[in-house]
Amino acid sequence: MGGSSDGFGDFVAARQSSLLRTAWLLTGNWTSAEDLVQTTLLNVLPRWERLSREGNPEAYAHRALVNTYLSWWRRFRRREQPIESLPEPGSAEAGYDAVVLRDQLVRAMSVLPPRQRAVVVLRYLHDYSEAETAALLGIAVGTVKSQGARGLAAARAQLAAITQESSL
Amino acid sequence: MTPNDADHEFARLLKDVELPGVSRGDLAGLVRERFMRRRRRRGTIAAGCASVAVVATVVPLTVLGGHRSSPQPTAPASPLVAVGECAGTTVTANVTSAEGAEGSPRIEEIHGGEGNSALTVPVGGVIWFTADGPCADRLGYSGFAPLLGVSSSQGYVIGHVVVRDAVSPGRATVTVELLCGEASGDGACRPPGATDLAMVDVIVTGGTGTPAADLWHGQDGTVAAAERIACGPGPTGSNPAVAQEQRDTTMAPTGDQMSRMSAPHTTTPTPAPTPTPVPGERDYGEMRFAPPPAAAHPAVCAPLAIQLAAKGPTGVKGSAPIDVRLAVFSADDPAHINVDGSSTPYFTNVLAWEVVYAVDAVCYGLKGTCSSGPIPADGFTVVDATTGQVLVTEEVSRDALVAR
Repeated sequence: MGGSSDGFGDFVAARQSSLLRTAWLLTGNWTSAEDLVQTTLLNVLPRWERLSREGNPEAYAHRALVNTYLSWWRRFRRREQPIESLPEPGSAEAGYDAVVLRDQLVRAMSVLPPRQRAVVVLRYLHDYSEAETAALLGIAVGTVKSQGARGLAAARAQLAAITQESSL
Repeated sequence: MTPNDADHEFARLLKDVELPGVSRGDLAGLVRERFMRRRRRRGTIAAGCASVAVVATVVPLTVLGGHRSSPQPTAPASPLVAVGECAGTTVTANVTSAEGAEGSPRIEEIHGGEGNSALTVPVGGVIWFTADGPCADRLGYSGFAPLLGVSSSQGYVIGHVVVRDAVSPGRATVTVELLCGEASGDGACRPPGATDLAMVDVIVTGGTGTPAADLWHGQDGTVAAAERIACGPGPTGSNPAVAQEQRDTTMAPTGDQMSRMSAPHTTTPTPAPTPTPVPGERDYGEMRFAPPPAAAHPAVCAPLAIQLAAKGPTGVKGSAPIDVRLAVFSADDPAHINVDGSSTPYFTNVLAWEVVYAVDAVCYGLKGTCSSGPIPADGFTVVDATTGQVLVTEEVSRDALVAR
């Protein structure tokens, strides 16, 4: 079903880790990340033929993903409950340090407002330029500059605080 | 470590952190399957919308023409599915008086057929359907589009009905359906497609205060209504918050500011409190539009606001407006980010024009590639009704605005 005859299956296979990582950093939990990626790909699928012929499917997917994420946040923000630790299953292969680091990173990212989080992820995870990030988010380059700088600083500060706290 | 090194270090962490070891299976296949299900469901929603489209204009609570005539049960309650492999599947409606309302929801079991009691919910209320049993994951629902919220595949929540403020009191019908795959055909399902299992009326009451529509002083979103608002003489002055935002976005933080922002905070910044909803408010999350005062007199008239908004946001091609309203605008974001991590919104209670348009195409690259859209979305631009300055341009998913 996910065959690669039209290239969509290949695209998903090649990019799903990257998309899931993006979605996970945005949403902060794995279940929502998977749902977000599926919803995003639901937007990509009907346009696949055209996208693969003349577009940049990955950039389109990133835009759709961020757009969907921001919309979800708008709709459900009042139900968001801050939690101390993430209800995410550990895995036998994953070392303790990796689980802790993952938890700390997501907690650090969670202090950022949604749009700032999106800027940080696009700029520093995907290495989009400021202009590309602005085009993807539909905002001004200046906003990307300020939101990116401040978002990164805030996330770093939070991560440092969390690390310090857990080492006590 | 310099701030620059620290940035690189953080970027590396984003790229390298190990993801949870969860099996991803055939993601492309899963997406194709969901796409097929959604396509089938969309057809049903479109049909439902056509049949009850008059509902929202009938005020209040008039019994409509059509196949339903009474909100009371007309037949003995029957199980949702009594035969075949899906026997024992149940659906429950959970009703609350408002989105995010505390306390236990009112719970109503949904029976098969048309003999369900009507669900009464006030404007601003929420109904969500939960399913249980052997075919819970094959259930869907359809209904009057402005009442439909998100259809969720998580757990057994099969859908939300969010009765947004813009929905007038009235009645609509929601249909619970069973999706029928090729392997179905056991008596509960007639493949291919979906079998309607139950129909339930939703009665939307006007709430306790003034109906939301009245608070907007006749503004129904049309350009004609917007043009009837007394206005003039034209743009005057400038909004200081716009200048502040421009300064913030063009000037990088100083080294001192960066150091302070990057220093570990001893406490987690307190999240901003959720604003108290204003009656009749149109709430898009971090942006809110409250009805304007009756005596509001914008210096900028609607046609000029539409022209100014038409310049459009970066990367989005807008069409003619599909909704224009004078409103009191507030936004949590954009905001000035303070060095302690807190934020100060630029725009609070600004008399402004909200201009909504369909996003015709999405440009997703720097070279202006715009032909592969649209992502299902609307955009809106907020124009200061005094100065004529564009305050915010935003793209949102279509269903976030569909209940206008």
